[in-house]
Amino acid sequence: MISEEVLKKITHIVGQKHLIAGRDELAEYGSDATKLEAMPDAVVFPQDSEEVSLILRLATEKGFPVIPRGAGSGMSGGAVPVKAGIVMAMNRLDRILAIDEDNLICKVEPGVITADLQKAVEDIGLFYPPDPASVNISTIGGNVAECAGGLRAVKYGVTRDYVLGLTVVLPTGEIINTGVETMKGVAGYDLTRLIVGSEGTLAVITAITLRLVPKPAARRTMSAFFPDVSSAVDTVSRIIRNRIIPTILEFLDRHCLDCVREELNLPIPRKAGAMLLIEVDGEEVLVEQEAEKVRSVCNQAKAIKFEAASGKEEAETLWEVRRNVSPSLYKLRPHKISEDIVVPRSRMTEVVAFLDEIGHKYGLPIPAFGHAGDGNLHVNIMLNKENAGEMESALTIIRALFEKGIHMGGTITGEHGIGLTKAPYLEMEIPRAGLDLMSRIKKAFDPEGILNPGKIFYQRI
Amino acid sequence: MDEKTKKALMDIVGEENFTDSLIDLVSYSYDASEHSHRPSCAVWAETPEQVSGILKLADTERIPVIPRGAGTGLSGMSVPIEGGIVLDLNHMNKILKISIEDRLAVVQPGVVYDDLERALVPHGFFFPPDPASGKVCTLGGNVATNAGGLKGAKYGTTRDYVLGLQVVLTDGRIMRTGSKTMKSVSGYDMTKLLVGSEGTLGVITEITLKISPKPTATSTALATFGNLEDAGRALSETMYSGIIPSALEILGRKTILAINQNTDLNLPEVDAIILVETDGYTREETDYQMNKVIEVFKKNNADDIKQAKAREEAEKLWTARKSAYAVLARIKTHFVLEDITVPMSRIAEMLKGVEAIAERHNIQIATYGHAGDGNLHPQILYDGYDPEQVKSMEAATAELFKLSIDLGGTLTGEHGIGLSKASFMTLEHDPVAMDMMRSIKKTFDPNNILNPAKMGLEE
Repeated sequence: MISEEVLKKITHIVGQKHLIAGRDELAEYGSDATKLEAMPDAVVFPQDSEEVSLILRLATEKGFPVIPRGAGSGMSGGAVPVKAGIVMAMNRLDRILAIDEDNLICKVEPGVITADLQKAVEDIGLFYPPDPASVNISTIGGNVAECAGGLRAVKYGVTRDYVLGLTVVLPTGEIINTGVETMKGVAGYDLTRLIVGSEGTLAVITAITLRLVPKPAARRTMSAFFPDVSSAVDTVSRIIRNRIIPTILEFLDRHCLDCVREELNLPIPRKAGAMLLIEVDGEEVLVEQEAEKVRSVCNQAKAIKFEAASGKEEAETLWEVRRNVSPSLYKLRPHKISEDIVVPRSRMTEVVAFLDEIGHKYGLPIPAFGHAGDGNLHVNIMLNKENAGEMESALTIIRALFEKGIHMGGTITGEHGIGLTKAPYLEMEIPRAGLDLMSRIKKAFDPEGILNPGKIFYQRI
Repeated sequence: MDEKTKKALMDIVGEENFTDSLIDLVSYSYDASEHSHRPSCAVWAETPEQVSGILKLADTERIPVIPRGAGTGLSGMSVPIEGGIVLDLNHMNKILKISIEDRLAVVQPGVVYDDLERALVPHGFFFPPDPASGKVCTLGGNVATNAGGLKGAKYGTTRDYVLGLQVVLTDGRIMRTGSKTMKSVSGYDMTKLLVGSEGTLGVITEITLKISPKPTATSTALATFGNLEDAGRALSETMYSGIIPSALEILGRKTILAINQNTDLNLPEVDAIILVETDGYTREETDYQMNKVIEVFKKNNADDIKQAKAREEAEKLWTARKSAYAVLARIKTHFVLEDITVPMSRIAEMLKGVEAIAERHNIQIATYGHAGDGNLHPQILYDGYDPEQVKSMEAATAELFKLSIDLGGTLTGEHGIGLSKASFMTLEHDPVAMDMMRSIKKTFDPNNILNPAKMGLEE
């Protein structure tokens, strides 16, 4: 519990208006998309690097936890204040500081909503590609802290690939600039990319320089249904082998298709065992040629049904299936545990078969969908969390799934991060030497361990 | 080096993989920079376990270890400036796996860049960074220095393709980082921290690289500009046009004059020449892109635009750019090649600044570079036997760095810090950032045995 004296000091830094300490209002800041909950002692809304610095310095001196927070849309509990302390909500730092068309870069504060930035740059013919599913609410600061991915990663990469430089406040209060405002730079260690994806455990980000690209002139959306997973995965390989890198290559398995069909009555072939949603973008003429190649690859791979949208509206219809997957799964069970593994693309068929088998064994449905282009599968273990037996089965399934994925050369998280929920499993993937180095790096940045404690590094609570 | 240590090293790598003969030590004393210093010995390692044994021994005995690829680095990072053991990784030169389905290649560090290129050709894929030293440089060196190249504007640099590593730490532990997949956010990004760390944090013994489909067609054109502002604007507007050229190179006036004096290319003697290449899978596609770029050039007052009709013509246009380094290198007894990078819109200003600096110090500086990502290579030509000129070179270098930083740029876009730029690190990084880098170094290498004195990390 934080002392009155400390609260008073913090109030003095940010002003009465920008501090919440009343229990009712605090609850909102104690959770994220995982629905895990913990109560912070207070929530503070700093307005600039200097205020952040003063608060962090105080925290290091007095030893209370600080939990940086964007929109709280994280999927691994990164923003949940498990050790109480001060939630540092970055919402007031919400300005787009500059968009530099000549150099294709922009500078933003962390509280800018990702979709707002996308719109602002698209209005002048530019493009910020990373688009996590939470794009309409998530903040750029959160995206950077988690290294958010999204649908377009197969062609455009993830948040990390667009961060050129950062302004960050260290837990000891120093403000530093990392990286460059140029397209490349190799002076010294890459502190920028060390901080990207560090889940608010190393420093608090107060400004971000991002790389932009020209907005693609045209895009084509297509969907294809296949009798089984292996023919869909084979199609993905063939597309890549034909040297086409689509913007989007989404995969849905049979469970997902069944749920969406029943919920929305969409025209999904009954025999369909898998679906691919494919989008290509670029110059008008080139997009036409690529779309034609994709069509012929899908036909060769014996797609049951292939559709190409001719306009924006038709594209929306094709998207409907994918958009409705997540909510429609709840018809199977009241709760869901989402995992986020990545495996080498060629092994996806094996993973889906494994899920069918293990789901059958434990009597739990495990629908999977995800970004087939990256081999990133969102595995959804459907269960009733009140049922202790089902909960126990789910944990067994998770461990088996992680073992399988890591054995294939994969990773336990492609875009959601470790946070709280995957912390107990991190040592399955990262060797002892790696964990040692990471915790020593953490210590170098944050000697008192005040920043987002309990995350990434597993601690029994 | 005492006999006991020598013997211990031989026990690890075998007698045939150890040398301390003078001729070898001299060969290992330099790289492509102006620095040199002899090591005590050199060893060739063939397995991660041998690397582990060497590091453990060196850590206990506090002997510097300098990992080495092809020694093509331009800033002295593989020069054993404090002596010690050169760890030559050229024997670890196997391509372990190419998987087109998974879009990746797994290689040992000693594989030569071009050898991987050749192995990927039958699959229609490539590893894009394309450093100028591609014929000889090793992939381990590329990763350690985060090498860039001609295709940076469109395809990025080495960093963008490294998915995972196997590295040996100074305490001898062998560690894997990253994964064999397209993405991962599992823990801190140790992979990207090691990329570009210039052999100061760990020794890379295996690399997993993302590979890309290789375009089969290109269009090439060369445009001349009567003044730098027009050229600068043409560059910015090109990058903004929606077309990203696969190469966008600039030659400044001094470079053009030098090429004309030393070859029979007869380039027009203008303020700037821009060489542009677009790539794709059909000529129709690449010409479509090229036409858009040419429109932008015309709008910005390009004097003369030559478009290559066939491959031979394209090669001729490329000769101008590719001969620059060698032509300039012959003019004086010595040269240094700088590597500053500025925001694209400041290229014209930077080029003018370079001319002013050259004039002020009465020294020749010719500039060319990768305009598409703002990376310029001013080549300072001087007589290294004339102390006055050496002084002028050093003063001009310092001013170049300062100007680059003032324009929002960086000391180095792709060559790295090494020894050459070590004393300028504090120009770009504030004391706290330097402290953080030092703590990271200490975390990985508490006894400072790995490539010591590089990157300006020692106080």
